[in-house]
Amino acid sequence: MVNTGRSLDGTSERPASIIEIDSITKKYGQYDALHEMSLSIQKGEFLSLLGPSGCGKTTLLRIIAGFLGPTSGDLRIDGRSMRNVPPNKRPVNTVFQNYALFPHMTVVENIAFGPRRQGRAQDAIAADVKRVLGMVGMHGFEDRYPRALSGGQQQRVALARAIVNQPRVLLLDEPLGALDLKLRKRMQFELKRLHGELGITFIYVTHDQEEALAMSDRIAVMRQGRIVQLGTGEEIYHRPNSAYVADFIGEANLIACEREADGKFRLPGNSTPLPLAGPDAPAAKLMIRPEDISFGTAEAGQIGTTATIVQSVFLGHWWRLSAMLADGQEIVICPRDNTADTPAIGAQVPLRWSQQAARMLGE
Amino acid sequence: MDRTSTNWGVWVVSIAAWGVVLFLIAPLIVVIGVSFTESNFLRFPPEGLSLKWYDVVVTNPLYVNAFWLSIQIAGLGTLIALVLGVPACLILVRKKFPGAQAVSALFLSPLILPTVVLGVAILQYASALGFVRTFWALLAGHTVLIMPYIMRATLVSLSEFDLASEEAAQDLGATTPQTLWLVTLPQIKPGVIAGGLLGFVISWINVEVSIFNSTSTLITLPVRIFNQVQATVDPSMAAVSAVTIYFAVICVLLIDYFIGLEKAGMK
Amino acid sequence: MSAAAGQSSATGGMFISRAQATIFLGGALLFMLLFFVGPMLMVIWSSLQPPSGGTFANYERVYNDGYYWRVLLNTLRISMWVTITTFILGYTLSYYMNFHLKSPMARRAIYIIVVLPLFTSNIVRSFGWIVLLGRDGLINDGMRIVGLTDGPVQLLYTSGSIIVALSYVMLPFMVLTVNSIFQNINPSVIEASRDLGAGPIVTFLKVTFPLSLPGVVAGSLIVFTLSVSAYVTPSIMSGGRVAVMPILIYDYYMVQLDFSMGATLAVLLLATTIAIIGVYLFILRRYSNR
Repeated sequence: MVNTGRSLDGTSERPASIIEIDSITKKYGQYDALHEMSLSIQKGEFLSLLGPSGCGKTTLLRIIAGFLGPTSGDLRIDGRSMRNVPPNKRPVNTVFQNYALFPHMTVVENIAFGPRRQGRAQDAIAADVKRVLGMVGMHGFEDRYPRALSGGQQQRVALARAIVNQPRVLLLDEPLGALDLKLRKRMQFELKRLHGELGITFIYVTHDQEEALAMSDRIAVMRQGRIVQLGTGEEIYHRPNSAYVADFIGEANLIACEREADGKFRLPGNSTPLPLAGPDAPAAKLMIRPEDISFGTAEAGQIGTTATIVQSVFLGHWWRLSAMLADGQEIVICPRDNTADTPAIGAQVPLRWSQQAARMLGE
Repeated sequence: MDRTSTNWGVWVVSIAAWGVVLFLIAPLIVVIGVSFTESNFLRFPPEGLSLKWYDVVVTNPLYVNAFWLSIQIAGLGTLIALVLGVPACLILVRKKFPGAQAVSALFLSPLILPTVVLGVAILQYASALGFVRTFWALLAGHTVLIMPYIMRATLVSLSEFDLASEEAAQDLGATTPQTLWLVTLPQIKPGVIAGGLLGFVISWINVEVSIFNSTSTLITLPVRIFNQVQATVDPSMAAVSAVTIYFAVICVLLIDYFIGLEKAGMK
Repeated sequence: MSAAAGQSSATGGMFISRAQATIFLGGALLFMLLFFVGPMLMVIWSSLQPPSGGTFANYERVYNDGYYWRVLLNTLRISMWVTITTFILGYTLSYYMNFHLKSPMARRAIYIIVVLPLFTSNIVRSFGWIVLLGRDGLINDGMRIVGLTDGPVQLLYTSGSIIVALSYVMLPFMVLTVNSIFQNINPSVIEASRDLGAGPIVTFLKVTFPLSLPGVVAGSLIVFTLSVSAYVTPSIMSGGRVAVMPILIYDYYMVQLDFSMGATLAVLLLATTIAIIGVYLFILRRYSNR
C-alpha cells in the first residue's frame, strides 16, 4: 500500500505527480462528458476511477490514452503536454475492456507487437516476452491463438501485451467485467500483486465499488463528468462528502432530516437536536452505516432514535434488519454481533450509534 | 423436424424441391452435354462423344482473344476497385460525417440500377469525351460495375471486425499505416477476397455494359457468344459456353473456400 | 497527427487524420463521380437533346405513342410472371432446404447448385434454354415420348419462353433472399406453435409464412427490378418477336443510332426501377408499422 499523507483533494505536497489533468472538458454537442476535470495522479499509485456508466470515467481514460481529444484543458504526462501527441507516441499502454487481442496472431506475436514497433532486437524481445508471460502465469501458451483461450487467459495475455512495453502508466478499462466472480476476485489479487512488482502507475476504471476498494491506493468517485470525491478507500468510506458517495460505496442509511427553526437538524420524530454540522440547506441526510448501529438507548457521545422492525434476514455472517422510523423512512441495521438475540418483527426498539460514525450530507 | 407431420405434405414439398433443383441444373448439364457431341447439331443427349468442338473453340482466335479481353477487363477492373474501394470502406465504417449516408448510397447504387442504363451511359459519356469504344471506356464501365460488390463485401467484413484491435495496435506504438497493414487488413482479408472474386465474376459474365462499348476487335467473351448465338448455332457455342461453366464452378468453390458461400453476401 | 483535432470516432478504431481520410475516401468518390455520376447525367442531358422538336420532344413522343406504353406494359407483365414463378419455385426450394432437409452435405450441394448459375453469363444460361426448348430439344422430345404431343411444338421465341428463361436466371436471387430470412426465424417459434396445438399446415400459414414475408417481399423486389432491366435473356429468347424496354433501348442506340431517344427510354427505365423501389419501401414502412 503506497503510503498516504496526501490532502483530501489530491493535490500532492511532493513533486511526484506523473499525470496532470488540467481542467479538462469534453463536450459532445451540448452534452458535457467531462466538466473542467482536474486531477493529479501520483507516480506509482493505483488509482481507480469509480462511477456508474455514463459518468465519464471511460472518456477520461481514453483522453489519457489519446483516442479522444479534450474540448478544452490540458493533459500532461511527466510534465510534457500531450496536446498533438497521438496515442502511439504516448508512454501509456491500455488493457482494453474486451481485451482486443489480435485474433490473427499468436500469444507471442500479440505480446511482441509493441516491442517490435519500437524496433528492439529480436532476442531482447524474446526475452521480454518470456519474462512477461511468466509474470502473468501464461507459460506454455506461446503459440496459441486468442480464440483457443478462455476469458481469463485472454485477459492475462492482454495484460502481458501492455506491460511488456514498460509504460509509465498502465490504463485498465474495466478489464475484469467479463469474468465470473471467483475468477474476478483472483484477478484482482493478481493485478494488485503485479502493481507492487512493477511499481508503475495504474489507472483503473470500474463501476464496482468493492473492486475499487480492494485494489486502489486512491479512488476518484465520479458523477456526470465531475470528480465528486478523491481519497483513499478508508477516507471515502468513513468520511463521504455527499449522499451520492455514501450511497455508492458500501451500504449507507441516508435519513432525511429537517433543519428546524433553531437552526439545528433533527431526526424524524425526535425532539433532540443533532450535534452535527451539516450543509447550509433546509434539509440534509444523516448518513450512518448499518454496521455502526446497535440496539439500546443512546449514551454519551451517541445519537439515538427508535424504530419498528419490519423485516429481518439472516445472511450468515450477520443479520440484516430493516426497520421503520417515525416518518416511515427505512433504516437498515447490521449488528456486529450475529449471535445476540434479534428483536422480533413489529417490535419497537431503541437504536444508537456513535456521533463520530455519523455525518450530515447534502446531495 | 416433426415426426407427426403429415407425410404426404413432406413428400410433396420434397419432390417439388428436387424438381426445382433439377430445373436449376438442367440447362447447364445440357450445355455441357452438347459440347461433347460428335455431330453438328444441338441435340441432347449428344450423339457420340468428342472433343472436336472444344478444339474448334480453342483454335479460334475470335474466341481466344475475347477470352483474354474478358480476363483483362475483369482483372484490372477488380484491382482498381479494390485499391479505390477498400480504403473508402475503412472511412465509411467509422466516420460519422455529414453526408456519409448519401455517399454510401452512391457507392452501392449501381447494384440496383439497370446495367443497360450504365452501358449506354458509358457509351454516351465516352463519345462526348472522345474515348468511345476504347479499352479504357470498357474498363471504366466495368470498374463501376465491380466496385459496389467489393465495397459491400468489405463493409460486411468490417462490421464483424473489432475496431478495438486497431486502438490496441496504436496504443502499442503502431502508426496508422502500420495498423492498417498489420492489424486491419489481415483480419478483413477473407471477406475482401471473396468480394473481389465476386466482383471479378460479375464483370466476367457481363453483357449489358460490354455490348454498348465493343467493336469488332474489342469484344468480350459473353458478347462474342451473344453475337454468335444469333448467327450460326452449332455445338461450338456449347463448347465455349461449357468452358465458362467450368470457370464458374472453380469460382464458386474458391469463394466457398475463402469465406463460405453463406457469407458471401450475394445479392 | 493531432489527437486533439477530434479525429477519433466515438465508436473507436484507429486514429485517421483528416488528410488520410480524404485520400482514402476521395479516390473512390472521384472515380464514381467521373465514371458513374457523369455518365448518368450525360444520359439525362441527352434525353433532352432530341434531333428535332423542343427539349421534351422525346418524352412527348413516348407519352403520346401507344407503342411505347405497350412495350412498357409487356415488360411489366413479363416481369410480374417471372416474379410469381420464381416465388413459387424459389420459396418451395428454400422451405425444403431449411425445414425438411437434414443432411448438411445435401444442403451444401443444393446451395452450390443454386449459386452456380449466378457465376455464368446469362447468355450461357439462355443458350441452355434454347437447346432445351428447341424443336429438337429435350422438352419437345420428352413431351413426344410421354405422348403429350404428336409433333414438335413451337416453344421458343414466345413470351412464354422468355418467362421460363428469365425465371431461371432470377431464381437464385429469390432462393438466397428467402433463405436468409428463414435462417433468422427462431425455431422455437415453430415448436411453440406445435406445442399450442397447431398442425403443420396451420403452423405454416399462421407462423412460418408471415414471418418469412419480409424475405418474400425483398426477393420479389430484386427479381422484379432485375427482370424489368433484363436485356440479354429477352433478346435471345424472343427472336425479335417480342419487345421489352431494354431491347428497345438497344435498338435506338445501336441500330437506329438515335442516342437521344435511347437516352429518353433509358431515363424512363431508370425511373421505373426507382418507382418500384419506392413502392417497396412504402410497403415496408406500412408493414412494419402494423
